[in-house]
Amino acid sequence: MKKNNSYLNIKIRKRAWYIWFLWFIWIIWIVFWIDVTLGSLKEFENRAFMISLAITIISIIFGIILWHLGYKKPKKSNH
Amino acid sequence: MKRRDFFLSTLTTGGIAATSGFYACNQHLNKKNASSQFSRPWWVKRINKPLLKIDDTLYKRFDSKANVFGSFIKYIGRENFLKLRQKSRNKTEKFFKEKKPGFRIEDRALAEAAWVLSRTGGLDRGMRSWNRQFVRTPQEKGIKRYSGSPERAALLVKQAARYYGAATVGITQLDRRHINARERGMDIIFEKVNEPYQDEKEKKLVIPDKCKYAIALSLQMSLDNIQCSPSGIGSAGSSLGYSRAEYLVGALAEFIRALGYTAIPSVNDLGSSVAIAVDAGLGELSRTNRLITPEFGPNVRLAKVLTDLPLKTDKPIRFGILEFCKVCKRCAEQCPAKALSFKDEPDFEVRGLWNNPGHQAWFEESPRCLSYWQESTSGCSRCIAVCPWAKKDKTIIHEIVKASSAKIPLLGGFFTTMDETFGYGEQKDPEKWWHMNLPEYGIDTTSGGKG
Repeated sequence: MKKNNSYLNIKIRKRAWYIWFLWFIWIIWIVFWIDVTLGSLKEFENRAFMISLAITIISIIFGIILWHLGYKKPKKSNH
Repeated sequence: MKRRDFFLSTLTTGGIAATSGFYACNQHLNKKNASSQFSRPWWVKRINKPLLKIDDTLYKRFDSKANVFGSFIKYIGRENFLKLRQKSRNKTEKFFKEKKPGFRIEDRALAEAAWVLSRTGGLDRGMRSWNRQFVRTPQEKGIKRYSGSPERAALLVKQAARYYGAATVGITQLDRRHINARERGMDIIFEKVNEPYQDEKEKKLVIPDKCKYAIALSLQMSLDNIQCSPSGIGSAGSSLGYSRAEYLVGALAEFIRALGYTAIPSVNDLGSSVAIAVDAGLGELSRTNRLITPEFGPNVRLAKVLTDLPLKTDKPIRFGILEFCKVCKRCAEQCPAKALSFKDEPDFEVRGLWNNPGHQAWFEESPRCLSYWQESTSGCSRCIAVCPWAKKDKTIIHEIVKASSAKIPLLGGFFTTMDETFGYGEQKDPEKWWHMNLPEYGIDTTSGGKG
């Protein structure tokens, strides 16, 4: 939202339909790896814990980046 | 749609959903309280016959003297045996002086003391006595013996076994070929008698003909201990398993006797616990020529009780172990004694007199295994620790991997590689074991199914 003197310009940024599907998959993926990470910790499996922790963190960062890239570019206005 | 209609239809739908949900839950609870409490994971399939074949013309009752414990000196030669013993003594002393973790006085004390109950028993001795110990039979109490249906009797026996410490329980019709032909210098024979007995004069142990059922039992070992193998801490995992097995079979046999029936408890004596466990559906035969269970992998001790109490029997199971073991080979690769088979397929070719011929298996070089036990100075359980099926159940990934391996055998190789990459099966530090927050007996009794 950008204030321009007496006008309010509202920019609607639409997401592609498949982003919601990817978002759902991503959530399941993250929950799964958090479970593996915590489980490995409980099982005293050090290497499994470190690997799964790394996968979880990378997946979260990658997911956030993808989320922000997932906007449809607004069509160019003729006005 | 009007608002009133909307609310009406919502209420009706909600009511139907709630009623059916309540009904489903009730059904589930009723089922859970009956026989299905001993159900197996969904990816385990019941089959009519074990997957690995038996050659009926060859498979016979085994003379236990030929097993590796009975004839070790014969198999490796007296000279080698004496050398090995000396080497073991020197190494023990060296490790003791070095205070090597896992081989210090406290580590060895833990393992030796854990044997305490097991050492009191033996074939027809102590808790494994073939005859009544302490319970009063229904006859002595002046009442009739138990007369419920085989289904109900199986339920009682399984629940009692769980209560006395079994991880999983299965029941099968006794295949007499699994019972040793000779043990402790005596013939084991079946006769039409009422009670089992031992005849020192005629050198025979008599099992009543009527004992047609075998109850196969598995007990969890502490995976935290086994993962420290080879070491005193690792060895304690096995020895405590044996002691718990001693109590389990003794108590279960007394339970059956108190119902008014005959019961013969046994751990590693009397016959092949593995063969009986396969028949009773506790697991599948693996590359180690030992059992792998769906719930705990190979990390179990086995025991059995023979009885005449009519019981509903279970079928053998399959869950992809045969296919998995063909590609995995991790136990064979990691075996410090190189005692396990690398063959792709199981066959009938035995490796020596210590193997009972006539059944398909991956036969092992038992003398090499036992020699390494001497060499390591405190036994070995590496084949159990490295098996991708030996897992705790603190994360869903293990269940997913097991289910996928059972249903899609092609994935076996991938899972084995991933298992190794994730560091599973690596030897744990025995010193760290002493600082762990251990559950009772070192096992998580809530894990796995009830079998």
